[in-house]
Amino acid sequence: MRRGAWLGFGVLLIAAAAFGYQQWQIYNQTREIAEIDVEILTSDLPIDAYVDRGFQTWLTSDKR
Amino acid sequence: MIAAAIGILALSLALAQSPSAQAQILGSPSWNQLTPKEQEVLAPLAPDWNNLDAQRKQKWRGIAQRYPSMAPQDQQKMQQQMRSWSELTPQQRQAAREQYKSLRQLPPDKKDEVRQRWQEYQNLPPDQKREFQSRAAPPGGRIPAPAMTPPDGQRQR
Repeated sequence: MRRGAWLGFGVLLIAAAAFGYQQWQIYNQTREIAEIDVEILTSDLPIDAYVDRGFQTWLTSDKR
Repeated sequence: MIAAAIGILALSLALAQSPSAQAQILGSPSWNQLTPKEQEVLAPLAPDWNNLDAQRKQKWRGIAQRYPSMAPQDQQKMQQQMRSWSELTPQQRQAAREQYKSLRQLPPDKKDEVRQRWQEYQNLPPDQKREFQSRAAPPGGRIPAPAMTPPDGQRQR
């Protein structure tokens, strides 16, 4: 019984750690995306320049 | 006892993966639950706010927090572009982030060249723009840009 209680406690501890780790990952991912988004929104180029696939092709083209 | 503990472990991990559980954990405030300051900064997003998922709401609240420390011209730019950005599809936003990350590694003179070429591109006839768009790589496959490759040893910010 005592061994079972310790095992149960251990499993709960692992669950809490896994849950905490996942939340930490979500937090970091959200923060990283926010940082890049702010940089894009305040960059010298308009959003269209990052989205327009034609412009991306034009950049690699020698035609002017 | 052990079976119950393992059950709790499995259930908690499964719940943490589900979007609705993440919304509960992250918090998914409605527009009216935002502070007046957040509402002021995020005003361009007001019409669509309640349709955003929890993670995007958290992202925008984080941006609203750092807004007061931004330069006035950056604040103005952000306000102008926020709505257009929000209207992009998730795939377009991700593609734009990848493209931005690629371009920001360029040395300053190349960045100036990109700005200049954007202006040139804007002046192209619509037919020519369409031609470049049709020649573009399929979504997900970024175009190699040999002319835009940063010098060796330059690290990403």
